[in-house]
Parts: sequence; C-alpha cells; structure tokens
Amino acid sequence: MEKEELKKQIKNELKEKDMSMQKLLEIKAAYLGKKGLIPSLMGEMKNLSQEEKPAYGEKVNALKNLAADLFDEKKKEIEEKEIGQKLESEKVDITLPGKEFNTGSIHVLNEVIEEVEDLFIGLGFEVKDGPEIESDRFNFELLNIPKDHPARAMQDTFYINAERLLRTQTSGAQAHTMIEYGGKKDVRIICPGKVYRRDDDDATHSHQFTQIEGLVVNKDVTMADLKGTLLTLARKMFGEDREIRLRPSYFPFTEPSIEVDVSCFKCHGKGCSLCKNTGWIEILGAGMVNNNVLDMCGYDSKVYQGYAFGMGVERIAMLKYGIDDIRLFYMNDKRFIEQFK
Amino acid sequence: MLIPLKLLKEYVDINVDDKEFVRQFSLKSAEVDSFAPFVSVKGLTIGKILKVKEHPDSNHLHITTVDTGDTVQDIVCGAPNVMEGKKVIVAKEGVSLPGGVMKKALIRGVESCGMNCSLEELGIDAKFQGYEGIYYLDDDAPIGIDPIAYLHLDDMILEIELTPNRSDLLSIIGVAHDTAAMLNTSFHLDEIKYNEKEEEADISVSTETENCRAYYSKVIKNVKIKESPSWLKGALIKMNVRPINNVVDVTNYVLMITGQPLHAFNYNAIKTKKIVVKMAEDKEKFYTLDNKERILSKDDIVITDGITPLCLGGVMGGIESEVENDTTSIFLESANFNPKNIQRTSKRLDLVSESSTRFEKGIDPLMSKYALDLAAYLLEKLASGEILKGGSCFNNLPKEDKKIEISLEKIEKVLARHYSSEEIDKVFSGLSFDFSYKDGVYQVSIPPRRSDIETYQDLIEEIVRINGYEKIASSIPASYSAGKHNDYQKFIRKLRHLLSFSLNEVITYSLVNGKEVSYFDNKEMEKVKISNPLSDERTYMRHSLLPSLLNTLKYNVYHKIEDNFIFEIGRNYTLDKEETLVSGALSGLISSTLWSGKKEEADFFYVKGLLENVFTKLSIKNYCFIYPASPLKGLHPGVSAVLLSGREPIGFIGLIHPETQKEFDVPKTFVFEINAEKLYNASHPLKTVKEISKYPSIKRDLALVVPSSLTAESLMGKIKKYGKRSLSDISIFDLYTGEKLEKDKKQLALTLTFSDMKKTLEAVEVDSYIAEILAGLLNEGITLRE
Ligand SMILES: [Zn+2]
Repeated sequence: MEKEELKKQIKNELKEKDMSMQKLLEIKAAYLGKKGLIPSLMGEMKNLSQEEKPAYGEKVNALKNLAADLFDEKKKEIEEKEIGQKLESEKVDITLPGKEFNTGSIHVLNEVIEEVEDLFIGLGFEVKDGPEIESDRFNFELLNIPKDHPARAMQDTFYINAERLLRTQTSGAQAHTMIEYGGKKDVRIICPGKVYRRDDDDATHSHQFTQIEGLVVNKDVTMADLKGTLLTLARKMFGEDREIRLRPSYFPFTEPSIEVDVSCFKCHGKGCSLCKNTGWIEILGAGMVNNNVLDMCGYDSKVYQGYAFGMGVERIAMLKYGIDDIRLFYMNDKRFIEQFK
Repeated sequence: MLIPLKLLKEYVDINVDDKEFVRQFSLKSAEVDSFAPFVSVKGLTIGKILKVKEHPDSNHLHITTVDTGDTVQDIVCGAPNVMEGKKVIVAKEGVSLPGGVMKKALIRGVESCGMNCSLEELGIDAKFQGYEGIYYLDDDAPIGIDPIAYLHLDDMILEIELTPNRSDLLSIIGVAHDTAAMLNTSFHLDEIKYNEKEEEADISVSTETENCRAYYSKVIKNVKIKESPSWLKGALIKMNVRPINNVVDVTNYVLMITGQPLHAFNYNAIKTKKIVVKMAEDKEKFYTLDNKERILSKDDIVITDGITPLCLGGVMGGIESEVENDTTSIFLESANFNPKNIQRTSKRLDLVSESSTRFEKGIDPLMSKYALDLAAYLLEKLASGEILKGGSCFNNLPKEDKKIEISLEKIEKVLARHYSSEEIDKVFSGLSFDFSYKDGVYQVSIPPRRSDIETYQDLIEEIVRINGYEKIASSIPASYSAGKHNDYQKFIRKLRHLLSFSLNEVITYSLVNGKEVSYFDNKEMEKVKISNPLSDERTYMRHSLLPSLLNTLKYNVYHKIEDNFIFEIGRNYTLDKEETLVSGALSGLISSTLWSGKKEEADFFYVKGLLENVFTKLSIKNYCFIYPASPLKGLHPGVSAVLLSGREPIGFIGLIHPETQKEFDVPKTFVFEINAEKLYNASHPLKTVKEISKYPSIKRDLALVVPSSLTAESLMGKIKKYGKRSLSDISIFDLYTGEKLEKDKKQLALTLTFSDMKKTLEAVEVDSYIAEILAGLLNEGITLRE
C-alpha cells in the first residue's frame, strides 16, 4: 500500500465533522490496534527475504507514523471542540452585580486636616495638640485677651468654672508650645483640633467645630513669609491657579492682623453667588504675632518675631465641596458620608 | 456702621470712582458688607392727588386722579389714608419696584396707570413713615421732580463691619480720616461760627468721680422745637436713625458725624443751676426717658443737679429733665466717660444705644468741644436758639499725645520690604499723625481718636495697610529641619486609614446629656459639667463615644439606612485628663450578593476579626480578649469581652444589651471602644527580622473533645505547653457541639504545624511530639475524638 493511498483512505474515514472521541478510537483501532491494518502489514514481513525486509519495514513504519499523525490531529481537533463546548456552558452573566462588601470612608473634616498637615509637614512644620478643656490663662490671657477685652464678647465661651472652659480657639496650643520650648527653640507648628463656642446650631453656626492653627516664631520670619505660606496653602486646597489677597483685620494675638481671601475658584474672578460677586472668598485669619504674646510666653520680642494663622476646617470643606449646612458634618448621615469614599 | 457717601464727601475728597473707592476701603480700612443706593428704585415722580373717587366695584379701593406734571392719570389706590390735594410719590408704568415692575393694569374693571407709594414699597424701613398707607410729602413739594432727591435720600450707602479695635470708624469724621489716608486726598473740617448772647451761661459743672473725664456745656435759650428740615431728616434716615424733632435730630446728627454723644436737658429742670457728676448710690431708683424704673448701682455714672440724678451718664436721659415739645431752653452736654462704667451699666440694665456703644468703645476726646459747637451752630440755625456766652466745662484728660518710636529697620524686618521715606510720610500725614524722623527712627504722635494704636506693631499695621498689603512679597521661610508627625500621630493616622477600609468614620459632638455621659463608662470617671450650657442635651463632656455612635445609628435607621458600620476617633474628658478613644458601632449586613442569596451579617467574630486584622497591621503584640470579670455597662454579659494589653484592660468589644438597644432605639449592634494611646503602647513595629526555616514543615490535624467551658484560647495554651519547640503554629478550623457528644463537651479541630530551623522533620519525630501533647492533654481530661 502506498502512503498517498493510506492518507486518502484514513482522511475519508475521519471526515465526519462532529465525530465523537469514541468513534475516533474505534477507527484508530482498525488501523493501529493489535489486529489493525498496520500491524497486519507488519506481520507480512516474515514472508519476505532478508534483503527485502529492511526496505519493507521502513515503508510500513512510515505508514504507521503517517496514520498516528492523522489520528492525533483529529484527536486534538475533537478535544479543542469539547473544551470550547465546556467553556461555553460555563459562561456567566457578567452584568450581574458583584459581591457587596461594606467599605468605609474617612470623615471629610479629617480628610481636610490630613491634607493640610501633609502640606505643612512638607514645609518643615510639626503637628501639635493641646487640651480641649483649657484654662482661662491659655485660652485668653496668654493670647493677649485679658478679662475685660471686647474679643471675649466675640467668642461666647462654655465655662466649667471661673478658671476652666472649653477652648474657643486652637490658638491655646500656640501658648502651650512656646512655653514648652522655653523661649529658645524656633517654633514651626500647626495645631488642628476641636473648639467650642456658645452658639446655637444652625446652617452656619455650630457649637463644636474644627480649627487649624499655625505658628512660626524665630528671629527673622516676616510678613512676606506669611503671605507666601498662605498662598501655597490656598493653591494646595483650591487649585494651582489661585491668588490671595490680604485685608486688614483684628485679632488680639496678632498685630498686624489680616483676613485672607482666595480668588474665587468657581467663577475665576468674574463674580458669582459663591464669592458674592467680589471674585474673592474669605478663607482664614492671620497676622504677625503680637509682642505681648511672645513676651508672655517667654520669647523676647526684641529678638524674636513670628506669624500665626487660623482657619476653620468646616469652612474649607464647605467651600471645597459646596456644602451649605455646617450641621451635615456632625449629623453623619450615611448618604452624606459615603460620598467621601 | 452705615456711611452715606454724600455725607462722607463733605469731610474728605474722593478722587476715584465708587467701585474703586469700595475696593480700596475693603483692602485698606475695614470689611465692606455692602455698597448700594439707599433707594434702588429709579424713575419715581412727585404727583398731586387732584381728585379721589370711590371705586365702583370695591368698598376699599379708590380711583385717584394724579397730576405728575407732564400727565394727569388715574391710579387705583387701596391705601386707607388717600386724600385729595396731597403730594405723593408716584411709580408710573415701567418703574421697577422691589415688589416688581409697574404695569398698566385693570383693577376690577378700572384702568390704573401706576401706584401711589408708601416708603416701604420703595424698600425703606416702615418706621421712617410711621403711619399706614401712602407716604405724603410736604404740601409745597414740586410736582414732576424726583421725590428721592427731594427727600435727600439719593445717595449711596457704604455698610462696613468694624473690628472691636476700630472704634474711630464709628463716625463719619473717623471714616473720612482713613479715607484721606488711603486715597492720599485731603480731609477737611470746617471752622464753626455762631453768635453768642451777652447773657452768660449760668449752670456750673463739676465732678465728684474720675470716671467723668471731661465735660463741656452750653445753654441755649428760646429754641423752637419743630420738625427738622428734609436734608437733616434725610441724613438721619440714611444712617438708620428715626427723625424726632430738631433738637433730638441735631444731637443724633452730631453723634453720627463726630462720634461724640451729646445730651440735651430741659434747662428748667436744673433748678439748682449746677451739674454734679457722681457715682450712683447702690439701689438708688431712677426713671429713664422710656419711663422705666431703673435700680442703680455704684458702678453707674449719674449726672445730678447736686442732689437728684437727671441722667444716667452716657446711657440714657431721665424723664424729669427730658426735652419736650414745649421746652424753650436747653442745657447741652458733651462729656467723656470711662468706657468700662458705660459697658457695665449698659450690660446690667440691658440698655444699648448709639451713645452707649460709642462710649463703651472709647470716643475721640478732641471731638467733645467741636461736637458741642457744631450742635450749637445747628440749633441756632434750625431752632432759632439763642446761645448764651461761654459754658462751664472741665477736662482732666492728658493733654499730651501718646508718642511711639519705630525704626525704619524694624519696619523692613517685619514686612520684608523696603519703604521709601515718601511712602511712610504719606501714611502718617494721611492719617494726620504728627511725626519726626531722625537717624533712621520715626517718632510718631498718636492723636487720641486712635486709642487702638499703642505699640510700634500697631504703627507697622498702619503702614502696611495704608500703603497696601498687595505690595508685600510672597516667600517661603527656609526650613532647616524636616517636618514630621511623631510616632503616635502616625499610628493614629494609620489606625484611621485601616478602619476606614471597612467602616465609615464619623465625628460627633463632645457635649452630651447627663445620661449619656457615663453610659458605657466602667471606670466611673469624674464628670465635667458645663456651667452655662445651651441645652440639657449638651451639658457634659463625654466619657465614651458610644452613646453618640448609637444615636448616629438611630438617625440613619430612622432614615431607612439599615446597614451601618461606623467608627470615631475622639476624646473622653475629665478635668485633668483627656484620653483618645477609638470606638465603633456595627449593625447589619457586612457583605451580600443578593441575587445568589448569600449574605453575611455582622456578629461578634466579625468585629473581633476586624480588630485583630487591624492590630496585626499595627504590630500590636501581647494582647488578648478575656471574659469580663463583671458585666460591662450597656453590653450583653455573654457576648462581650475585655481587651487586655499584657495585663492591663485597654478596651472592650461586645453586643449591646437588649435594654441598651431599647433605650437608644437601635437594631442589634456590636460595639467596641479602645483607648488609642494604650493601644499605641502595645504596638511593637518590627526591628529585626526573624530567621525563617529552609526546611519544609509538617502539618497534623487533631480533633479534640474538651469541656464546653474550656475556651479555645486556653486549649491552645495547653497544647503550646505540652508541645516542643518545633511546634510553630496552631489554628482552629472547626467547632462542633451536638448530640454526638456527651453533655458539657464540645469538639474543636485544630491544625498543628511543626518545623525545624536545622533539618527536615521526620514523620516519626512529629508522631512522638503529638503523642506527648495528647498524653499531657489526657491528664487534663481532654481526649482525642474516637
Ligand atoms: Zn465667584
């Protein structure tokens, strides 16, 4: 039998398209099985002379290899088809919803605090904190707000007794740090924290809110440094193309005192409801540290000077995310919270 | 403070347009709240009501025929006071009023061509009209002209918000000084001239208290009390002061212009012909102008006739000496009182007036005499008063101005900018400060109107604000040390971030009610109570965050939000200590795939596992959960545990007690509360790595039958005790309790892992270790499952 003839014959037997593996094995046995065609051809070798045997053997081997290749090929084809069918049967509806886990979030006020902390740590600041139950001395006296000072009326205070109160500003942490540093070490700190004022809660007032205070004291820090630092802060919080402007203000612990406006990020200075058509939005108060404060806290004002600033975290968050009611921060409605994932 | 622009311009030149003026004012002087016309309505006309007819189809409407000069038109009018012959303010078709644009309209079948207006309809406070209905102008008001101009109300109003230090801006003259400096224009104050009679003022003034520091007086006879002219009424209305009569209006006007409060007495009420200023007697009674009896104290300054009080100094006049419509002679006072006394009196009696506010904040002593002269001049003009010669007075205020020195070097060191001498000269002279300059140092005399300027820092503020903050450069101070969080701050932040992977962070109020303050407090800490709380709900500083967290759950569940997983990092409070706590409240489904029917609800082991995973990430070592020695407040006694760090309790976890659940009106909730500082102390971050074995380990599973009361943890402790060093790990993979076991027994299945650093363990070695462990356990009544 010639190769071409065998090939044609086997191919013809395997031409069925949806042949099962079983059928394939049956056909294969008819050719390569013990009693199959190829072994029987091999059996005939014994009837040949010694000279003819090698050439005959080679020829039958070639036929055997050819047959084996053809059956392997078909087997592979059937297997691939079977896998394809299995995979097809396992197909899922990938549009069904995934498994729901409970995923959490960070409170937006802490998110803002962390953002500010990271900026100032990058500028060489340390983070400090002080007690929320504060003494009159640290909350007022050392900040140049003596007993009869009108600024006390501006901040209605929760008192525990004549001497102890809930801090009305994080500025107390300034005094704590300066006294801790003993009037010698340079100061470069920010102090985030909760503060309390005796205001009834409404859309714009909260008896508890959050401030971040900043303080730098050394021998040569200037108002230009304050301006540059606040510009950096404004750009970090509200976008790189922001500008700031300073306006005169009054705080007992700073002199000069300023109010800081950032150029409106909503209308870019054209005027809108957010900036009340001025193009500017007030974001924080600041100033050069009042000499009385330096001296009372142990820093010689003839040698040292400093700057301080304070901002309301709620105000920053309200501006940034268009929140119009301060109570939302403390109501902790899941529908509000979950937007800050 | 309301500043009518036309009034301001009488005292200072303004050389820029309105918009620029307002911009400069807000950048250099004080915060501008608004800048707008006093009346924004344009195109109003004065008309005369020629005829009034009844409306045929209404019992309260009238048809008025109104002459506005160019036309005579009918206007349907609903005002009750409509009257023929009166002059009125007419809004014709097309005029835009606060309430809408005027249109021709049919009102019950009659065409109306506009409206006869009340002041309120123009956006002016109704108190300035004082009666219902349409506003009537003077009978001689000319028809056809602009009524707003006629009433002297055509002006722009600058409304500014003052910081407490700038009391000098509480007067038009004070604002004019600042304006002159910021615009570099001139301030002007006209000299006052009036005629004095031959007759001398015959009331002598003196004081018995230092709290009255200066007192100037005038006697004015034959005054005719009547309505003020419209320019004066207009000026007052623009500053929100209600006109009364010419005498009262003049004193109010002078107050607004100069900042100096004046008081006019009925001359005839001063029978002793002398004025003595004293401190009141304690409990002394006095009737103020508003006809109320006031009980005085030793802190109150009273103006007496030597015997009886006539006036509560700086705060309010007395009813006995009040100027009335038939008064003919008045005694005029311009005094300077100690601000502290005025502040206390006004606060104690709850009497706040334009006068007390100014005295409280400190007035310009140099204005006292000027203000008195201005008032005398105006009363001569407007009330035909005859001013008697002289007037008794005293002035015990310091005569010398305060002097402050500042070097150019200091200015530049603080502001980091070089200022030319012209720039600084301009600021000081603009503010009318006298100054000299020598060897790099300015000596500046501060006029007493600027009592806020006390130090060189205050002068630096004047320089930088008037010269302009925009001229200050922006720089970043050099830092030679790296900023950082300390390890504790880093720990807290990591804790927050880890918990926030599964839980929502909340922030709740520190102030709670008397019940919540110590609801979960097992230590019975000392309570901190607010002495002046706003409400009972916010009276105590909390000892636990959990009540607030449960209230948060309640709020959300009420809003139909069922699965709530929240945590908070916040403080507890005693008077001398504040500790940071990390607390959580978990309720509902942790995970779900609803269409497959799979869901998992939060339970004790979810909370415990969550914390354990977080602890692992925070390198918390040597901790365990134990049964509480006695039940924890607010928790289920069988489903709660104390967290120990070493031997110290640092927190707890558990299911809230059914009673707690009811009280807080929340669903089944698991909570935890841990002292964050103590948790931080239990954190031991890796310092050096441990060697790991190069050889494979061998695992063996054991199913042990143990007494029900034996905890998994103590079983593992026992196995460790009997195991050799090569027992490297134990884990529990099954718990079985049920019928196949004896009563009081449970079955725990564990995997034991053995490994050796130096060699591959042989199975026979492990078999012998297991045998030793089982032998040890058997002695304690623990058997291998058959
Ligand atoms: Zn805007």
